[in-house]
Amino acid sequence: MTVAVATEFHMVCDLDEVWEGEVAEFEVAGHDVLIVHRAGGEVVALQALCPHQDISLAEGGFENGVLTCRAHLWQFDSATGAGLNPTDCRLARYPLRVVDGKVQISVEGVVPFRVGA
Amino acid sequence: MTASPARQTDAAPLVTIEGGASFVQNPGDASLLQAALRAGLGLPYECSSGGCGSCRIQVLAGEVETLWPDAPGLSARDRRKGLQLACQTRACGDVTIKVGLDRACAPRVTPQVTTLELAATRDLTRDIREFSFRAPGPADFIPGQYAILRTGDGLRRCYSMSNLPNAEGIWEFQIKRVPGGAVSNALFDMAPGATLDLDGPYGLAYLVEDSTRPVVLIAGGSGLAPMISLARAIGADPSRRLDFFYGGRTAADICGETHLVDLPGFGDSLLYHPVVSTLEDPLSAGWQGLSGFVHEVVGRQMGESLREAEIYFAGPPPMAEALQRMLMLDLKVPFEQIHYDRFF
Repeated sequence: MTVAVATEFHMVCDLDEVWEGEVAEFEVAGHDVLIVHRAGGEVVALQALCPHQDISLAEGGFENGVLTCRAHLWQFDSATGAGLNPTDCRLARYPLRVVDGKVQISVEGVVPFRVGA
Repeated sequence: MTASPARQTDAAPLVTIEGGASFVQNPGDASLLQAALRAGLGLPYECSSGGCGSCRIQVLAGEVETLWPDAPGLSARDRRKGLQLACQTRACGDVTIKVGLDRACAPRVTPQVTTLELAATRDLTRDIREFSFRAPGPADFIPGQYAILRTGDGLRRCYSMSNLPNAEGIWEFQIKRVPGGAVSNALFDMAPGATLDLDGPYGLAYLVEDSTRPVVLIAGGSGLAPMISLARAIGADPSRRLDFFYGGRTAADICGETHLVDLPGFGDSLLYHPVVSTLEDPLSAGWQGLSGFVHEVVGRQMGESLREAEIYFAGPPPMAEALQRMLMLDLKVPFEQIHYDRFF
């Protein structure tokens, strides 16, 4: 007998709370999560803390789809979480869905990346 | 990881990091940061003085005292989340803290407290003086690092060494007199034979020993000392190209060349580029050399070649921030090739 295990999604915010071109940080089920509302409408959930020194990327810059940490100017591609400089690190990405204007994510099995850990 | 950390006194608090190591805060440790680093742990940090925010921790249990409650290293978010700076926190008894350690921050030379005696001084400019101190043991550090000097009243300031590590115990600093600055003025008032305590070495912007890349050193004002130390270490190899930029406000503030002229390759593989930012000041009268903000001059002179270089810099925050932006955002220099400690 197989049991279908449904992934649990947690409510993060109303989509209206994060305007297109902006990012916002939320605490969801013990995870610090950055909701990125990219130009064009795509919404992405990434780890909110820079893998270098845990600085919140919500305190940094967001331009042309690139997230920049305020401390050492580390840069990440907001579409994928990939590190642009340095390239040997990344932001963890959370499964996300928008249901009736509500942003929901799953944190199951997602481990935030941290250098030197 | 320390199994049973050494307590120098029975009352010395034990600090446990959630899920891992523990260390003791001994009487000589001015803060949790110093205690952790002395125990060999890689607690992330840069300035040791409350400005950069790299050493943020969360205190989970136990009582602590905060040395500088308004330290600028904590953002509004950090305060909302209850974070504290390890460099501005002391345990009052056993405590448990939460912090992510980073192997790269573990000290390669264990910092120690030692007493220095002032041996000699000489003035380099109208407000930068070179201090030569003597310690009872060897002066052990990596070029580019700094030490915390302690004067009376518990005051502490970070100053970078300008010489090379040595068995004779000579610690050399080039210190700028800050108008109204309690520590720099106390140092300028010291006479040979006077003593003070040093805690060090600290700092992560140190020499990358296995690199063969060309080197660019950029100093502004009081950032001279660590760049001179690095130049002395790297300049010993005349086959390696080294460009040394020094930015001063006026022509009267330019210094550093006398420390470089005797290095192998000076004028050939080792080039000194002084830059004056304020030509209209009477003290710049007659200046024929490079002028402008030092980061702009570096960008103009070195251009794309910066992407291949090992780059070290130290200086006032506006200079350091402008350099970071130019190197990381404009030129896309790989972060691993850029070496600096953020001071504010």
